[in-house]
Amino acid sequence: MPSILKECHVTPREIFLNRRRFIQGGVSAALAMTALSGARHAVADDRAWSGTPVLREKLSTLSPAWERDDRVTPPQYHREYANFYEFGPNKDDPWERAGQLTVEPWKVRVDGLVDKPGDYWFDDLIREAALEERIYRFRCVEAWSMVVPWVGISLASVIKRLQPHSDARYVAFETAVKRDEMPGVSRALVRIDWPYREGLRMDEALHPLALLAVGAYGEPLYKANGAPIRLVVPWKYGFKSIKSIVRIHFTREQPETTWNTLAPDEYGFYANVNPEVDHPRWSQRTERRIPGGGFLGLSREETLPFNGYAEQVAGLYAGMDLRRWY
Amino acid sequence: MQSRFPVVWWCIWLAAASPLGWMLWVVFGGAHVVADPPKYLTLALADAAVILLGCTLMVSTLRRRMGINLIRYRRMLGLWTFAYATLHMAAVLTLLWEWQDGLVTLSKRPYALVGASAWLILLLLAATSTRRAQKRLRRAWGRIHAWVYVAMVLVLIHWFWLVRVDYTLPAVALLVAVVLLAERGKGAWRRLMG
Repeated sequence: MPSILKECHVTPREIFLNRRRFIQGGVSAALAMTALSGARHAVADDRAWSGTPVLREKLSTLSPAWERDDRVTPPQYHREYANFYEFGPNKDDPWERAGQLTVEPWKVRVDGLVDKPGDYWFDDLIREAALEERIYRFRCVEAWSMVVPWVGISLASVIKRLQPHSDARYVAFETAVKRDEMPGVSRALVRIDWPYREGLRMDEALHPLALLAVGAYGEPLYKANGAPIRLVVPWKYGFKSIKSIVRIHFTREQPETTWNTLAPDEYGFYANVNPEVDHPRWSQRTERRIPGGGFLGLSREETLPFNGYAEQVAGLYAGMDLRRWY
Repeated sequence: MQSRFPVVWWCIWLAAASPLGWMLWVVFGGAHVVADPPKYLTLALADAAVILLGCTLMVSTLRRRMGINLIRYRRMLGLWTFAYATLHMAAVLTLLWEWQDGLVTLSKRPYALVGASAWLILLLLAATSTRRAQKRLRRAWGRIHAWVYVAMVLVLIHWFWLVRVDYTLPAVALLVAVVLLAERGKGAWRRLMG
């Protein structure tokens, strides 16, 4: 914790935020936020998750830096704009419908090639680990992006604690399927074979940038964003960062993953952000930074190889043809 | 035409224009979070075009089956369909894609060519929608305007081609299209073939 005290540390957060809004925001942005905050107060309770006592305790000792970072996407855009097909196919479905999701108690099953398999309570997974804030770029395969101040624990630290066998070459993850609470799961004419599945090669999973997020913006994760625990792999397209994890499985073979199975020519297993490899239906060279991106979203940013994390992660793929292993 | 029932005419006009008004309100009104305006406008304009196309095609069905005669408003509905389709395409080319290579992108994406073909048909129909064109083209006019069924099929292909996960809406549209075609029987085909 740096000893410099900034205004945001001594001013109540709402007031600080309001002041910043006033300084930064255009008229329409301010109007939008006012309308939004009005709307949110009525319904905030079930969309937000207050966190377990252990998580709350850990969060309270964290000093978030995101409020001082003006590249960070305002929280309401992160919460209200998400792909979470378990709640429906539209970007606002998670925000509208995820409130009913029960995230406590939450158990994660650990199985496969691992020394310490079993069902782990959420608190047991995070109790020993150090909680950190990581401000990451988040690049969706659909060519939009955000900057999100995640709060989480390093995936590597969890994996090391679980002690996978030496022949476990991949880690697979699964999202919860709760039919009563997830209206998207029982939709007819939806081609996803639930549960949603994702996976990483072991060296990717052990990379220090890979994060198991339990919060964002200094608070526990909103349900729409994959509470209580989700993956964040910042150098890969967003669909790799699986939400509301209930299973971690260690395996020798490359696991089947949801989007890769649905459309293998469009979504690779690796799915590293790569401006050189177009999605068959659109270019990946640039991205729309959310919100807005100027008038009607016309201003774009260059997409960077590995989403700007090439220096840290490119070594994982040395010698691999990234056009083939997209 | 509009002089006889101007109130009805304006009601239908306003109903057809309301999706556009709604979109402008959502994007510029400040009361909604529109994180990704290009995508929102592209999809909302497409929805509006499809709904208006359905309404246009429904006019003659309503007259035949239920005796409701809205035929005098059909041209307006058709022109609104064309307007939404045009705006949809413009949104794709200028907002959704990087517009400098929009045309290159178009040539690389077959589903987009299918959509563009449907738009060309609508353009032809809009261009020949005037009373004068109707008089001039005589019998050929009916044949040209039967191409709306080709456009409808192309739109469905375009839509199904783009969906990856949730087929609910295109399936509903397909169902409506099948009902409309079945109701017409061989008539549509005969008109198309002249």
